[in-house]
Formats: sequence, C-alpha cells, structure tokens
Amino acid sequence: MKFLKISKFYFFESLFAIKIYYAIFVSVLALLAFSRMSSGGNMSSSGLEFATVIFMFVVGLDSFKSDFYFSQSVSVSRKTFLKGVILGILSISMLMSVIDVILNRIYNLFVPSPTMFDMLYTAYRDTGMRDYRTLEFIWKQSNEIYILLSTFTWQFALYTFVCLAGLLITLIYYRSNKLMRVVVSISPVIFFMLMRGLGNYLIDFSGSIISFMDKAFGYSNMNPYMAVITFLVAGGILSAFIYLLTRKAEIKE
Amino acid sequence: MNSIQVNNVTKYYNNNCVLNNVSLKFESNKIYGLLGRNGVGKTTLLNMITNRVFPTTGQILIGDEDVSLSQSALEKVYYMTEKTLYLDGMTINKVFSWTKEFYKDFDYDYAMKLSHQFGLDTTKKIKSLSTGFKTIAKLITTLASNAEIMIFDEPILGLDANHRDMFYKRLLESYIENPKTIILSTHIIEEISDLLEMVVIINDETILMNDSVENLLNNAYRVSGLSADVERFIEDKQVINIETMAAYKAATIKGMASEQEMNRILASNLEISKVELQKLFIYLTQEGGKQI
Amino acid sequence: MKIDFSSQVPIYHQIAQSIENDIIKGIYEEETQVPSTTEISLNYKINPATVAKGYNLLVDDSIIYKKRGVGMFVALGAKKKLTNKRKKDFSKTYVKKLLEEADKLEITVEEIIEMIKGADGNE
Repeated sequence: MKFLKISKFYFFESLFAIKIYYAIFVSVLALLAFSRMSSGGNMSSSGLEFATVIFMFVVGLDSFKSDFYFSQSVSVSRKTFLKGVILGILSISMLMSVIDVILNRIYNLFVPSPTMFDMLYTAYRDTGMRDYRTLEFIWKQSNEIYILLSTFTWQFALYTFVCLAGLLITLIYYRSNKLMRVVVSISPVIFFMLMRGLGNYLIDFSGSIISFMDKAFGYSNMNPYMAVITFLVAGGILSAFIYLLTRKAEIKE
Repeated sequence: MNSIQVNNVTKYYNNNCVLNNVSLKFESNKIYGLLGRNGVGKTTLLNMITNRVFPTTGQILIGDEDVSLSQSALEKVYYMTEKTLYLDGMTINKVFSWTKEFYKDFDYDYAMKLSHQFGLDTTKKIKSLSTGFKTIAKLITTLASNAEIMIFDEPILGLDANHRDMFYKRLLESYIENPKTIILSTHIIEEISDLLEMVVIINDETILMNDSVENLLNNAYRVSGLSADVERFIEDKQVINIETMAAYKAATIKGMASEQEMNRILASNLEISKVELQKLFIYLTQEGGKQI
Repeated sequence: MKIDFSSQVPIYHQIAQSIENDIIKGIYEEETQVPSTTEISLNYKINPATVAKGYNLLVDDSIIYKKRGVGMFVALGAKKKLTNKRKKDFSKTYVKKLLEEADKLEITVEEIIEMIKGADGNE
C-alpha cells in the first residue's frame, strides 16, 4: 500500500520539527514550574496547548510542496499522495494530542494550568481558578477517564482541522497565479472591512450565528463531542477542497 | 509493454504554446535520444509522460494504460529530473532507502556499489553536493531503480570525462542485462550519438523527427571541394546547410547519394563524407532550418 | 579492434571489418572465441543493436557462428574465405585508387612499378 508509505514518509519528515517543538515547549514548562517553586508564588497558566494549535497550522502550511515533489519523484499518484498525507496528519495529531494531555497532567503537579478543554467544557467555566474573595486556588483538575479521553479526542480533532486548514491555504497559494495570490492575500482584510460596514445589518443575524456556533461546539450543554464532530466534518470539507486542488496540481520548474 | 505512446498532445503554459499537437511513439526496449534546443519543451514532454504536468489536450499511454489514470503505469517509470525533487536535507543513504520503499525492484547493494565506484559519499546531504555529484546521486538512484522505463533529463550535467564514461558503460550494462526503454534528453549530443538507437528531435513546438540514428544519418551527406564544383553539383539537390571558406565550399545534402552521383562526385574532384549527428541536429534546428 | 567514429563507413560495418581483419591477422584463430557483443558495446560505448548488426553480417557470411550459451566463435575455414574475398577486392579497393591518385599527380605506371619494387626491397 503506497499511501501507507507516504504517511510514513510524512510522519518521519515531520518528526524532526515535532522533536524541536517539544524540546522548546518542555523547556518553557520547566522554567515556569521552576520559577513558581522557587518564588513560592501563586502563579498559574492556562491553555498552553494553543502553542500546539499554532504549530499544527504551520505544519499544514509547510507540508505541501516538498512532500508533493517527493511523491512525484517516486511516481506516486496524486490520490495516493493525498490519502497518505491525510493519514499522516491524523497520526501526528493523535501523537501530539496524547503528548499534550500527558504533559499537561505532569505540569499540573507543579503549576495549576487548565487545558483549553478544561476551560470550555468543565466546571472551571463556572468556578474559575480562584475564589474571587479569598483569592485561594479552588480549581481542581479532573483526572477521570472520561475527561482524559474527551480532552484527547477534542484536541485531536482540533489539531487535525487546523493542520488541514494550513494545508488548504498553502494549496490555494500553490495553485494560484500571481494575481490570484494577491487577491487571496488581501481577501481577509476586505472581509473584515465588509463586516464592519455591514455590522449594523449583521446584528440581526448575530443572534442566530451565535446560537449556531454554540450548538456546533456543544458549549451550553458541555458536549465536547459536538465540537469533535464539527471539527471532523469541517476537516472533511477542507479535505474535499484539498483533493480538488491536488488533482490538477503540476510540478513547477 | 514498456512503450510510450503520445497522442495529439498540446500543451499551453498560460497562453504560450509549448507543444502543438504532438504524436509519437517511444518503442519498447530501445535507447532514445530526445534532442532539442534549450526551451523547446523536452522537459515538458517528459513531465507529461510521467503525469507531473498535464497536457492541455491529448493523451499519453504507457503500455496501453493512460498515465493520468493508472498508478501501475506510472510505477514503470523512473524519471531523473534536472531539478532534484527529493528533500534537500536528505542524505544519499536516505534517498536510496526511501526510493526502495516505492520501487520494489530498487537494488540497494548495487546503488552502494555504484556510489563507491563514482566516489559518492552517501552520508552527505543532497544540498551539500556539487552539481556533478548531485547528478551522480540522481543517476545512481535511477540505474538502481531497475525501472522498466528510465528517463534521464540532462544526465551528464557537471560530470567530468571519467564520470561520463562510467555512466555510459553502466547504462549500457544495465540495458544489456535487462532490456528497457531508455530516454536520454540532452542538448549535448556528440558523446551519446553512438549509444542511441533512435532519435527524437523537437523543434518549433512539434516533432521534427522520430527515426533511427542510422536512417537519419543515411539520409544526409556532405560534399565539399572547390566552390564552383560544389555549386554545380548541388544545383538540383535539396541542400540543408552550406559552409563557405574562401574558394572552398561544403554542402550538406538531403538524401542518399546514388551510384551515379557518387561517380559525379569523384569525377569532379569533390569529397564526400558523412554528417555527424551533432552537426545534422544543428542544421535542422537552426533558425529557418530546413526540413529533412 | 579500431573504430573510427568520424568515418563515413557505418559503425556496424566497421565492427564487422575489424573482426575480419583480426581473423586474417590471426588474432582470433579458427574455433576460438571472438569478443562478445556486450564487451564491444561496453568498451566502445556503442548501442548493442548496432554491434549485433555488425555481427550478423559476419554470421550471414559464415565467418563466425554462435555456440549456444557460450558465445561467438570463428568458423572453420573463415580465414581462407576472408583472404580470398580480400584478394578479389584488392584490385578494386587498392589498385584502382592508386592509379587514380597517380593520374592526378601525373605518375606513369612504369614509375609506380619502380616505386613498388623499391619499397619492397627496403623492407
């Protein structure tokens, strides 16, 4: 199965960057933990895995051209290439999500640090980190299996989605000519300007948008699996676009 | 089943026509020279054959399978490109082992043996190699792939005379042991002309010629001598090229000299000689070159 | 074996001729092996099909023959056959050319005969 080999290639080629990333990430965590211990202070942190989200986005941005060229040089079809890359992204997301959960649990032994998941889908939302009168830490991280598993799954879905988004952006750039690239680059700016201009009209809609988002990410009813499904469906849609753009991608000389 | 059939292929880049309605066949198990001046679309044609670039219109078959639809057709080919498509930071050892993952017939030991012969340090990264050794690394990977169809784009770029000689020998050896279709795309013709069985010449967006080297060379001859004598001889001939130096003239003529013409040549103190492939190529592809 | 890549004589012809020459000279004796097409192809970097074409000329003339699984061998009587053929061609290839050149330089036949005698004696 050639696509498995492409996944293997993709995985091993990304491994170097992943190692460096975690070397830095762990050093920073160690530094924070150390400074809290030595100062005896009441410092806390939160949502540190957001760094991984950014990292995954960059991996996505960075992963098209060189891997595509390699796959072409060993005569792999575009379909097989894409299958392999997506499987590679899934496995990297899985690996990093596991590592992040473990690191976070260890880090919490030293410094109270809720994950993004904790902040969105657990009691932290209501209690916060400290009692607002006494300023004592009252938040306790849950280590229930359900929470651990949900955190892992939710992060995995998020990382996958973000990485696919990065890949799609790179592909759009790769497939566009110069003019299109400029258009693509300034389109976010135009989008925001339009939003501002249309702000007054949009207020009518904002309610329904917010309630849609709320449902899609299972916020009100604290159901992270709604978000997982949303990320995966959105990832599937991105993959479909990625497929369409890869199908006719050519080598450029 | 390792022939390549190009059917009515046209390729535009933006609005520039590179190849216009090209049809040709690379027959199984022959060594081809793909010749053309810089920028005539040799690489584009090869990229289309390996499905790296798509024809604007037309179709390409390897064996009887469409390359744009069939993974197994693509796998028959190893295409050595002028540009390195592998990751720059990869070591040569890694290049070999990854290629082996995708080409089941890749011979790792042979690749190591050749590296030793060529003096290639396989622990080095691609980006740290000189042009010549980059070429060598690519040549070795191609030869060791044991693919049924081997395509070489500019295979002797940066190679010194010894390395070129070694490459020609290893290539022939591999061809004799395991007949395969080989395409050598280059504009340096002199050295490889005797290696080739067939020649394809691209010029002005089309295939100028697809024939055996022998037929091509038999189809032209050169007559030289005193200007006036040469002038008289070529009056009713199709002349491809004329060189003049003072009272001396040399004309390259299309066709084969008949017995009668041979006698005329000898009788009028003219000399006849064969035209080298390289020269013939230059005459045929120069601006306003004549069709043969 | 000598191949002149700039000669007007096609390469495969030259290959056949030089094997013939070597047989006449006795380099390859009858019933001994001549170089394989592979050896020649690799040595001179010539397409194997071209070499095979040259060898086929020799096989057709029964100068060499193929021993299955071993290689190509000089046929019995090949040397004799070749010398006879070359003798026949001698006048056409050498004498005629000699006379043409002599004519250009206005050398008479008598003078040529003198030259030949002289050259022979010098050896």
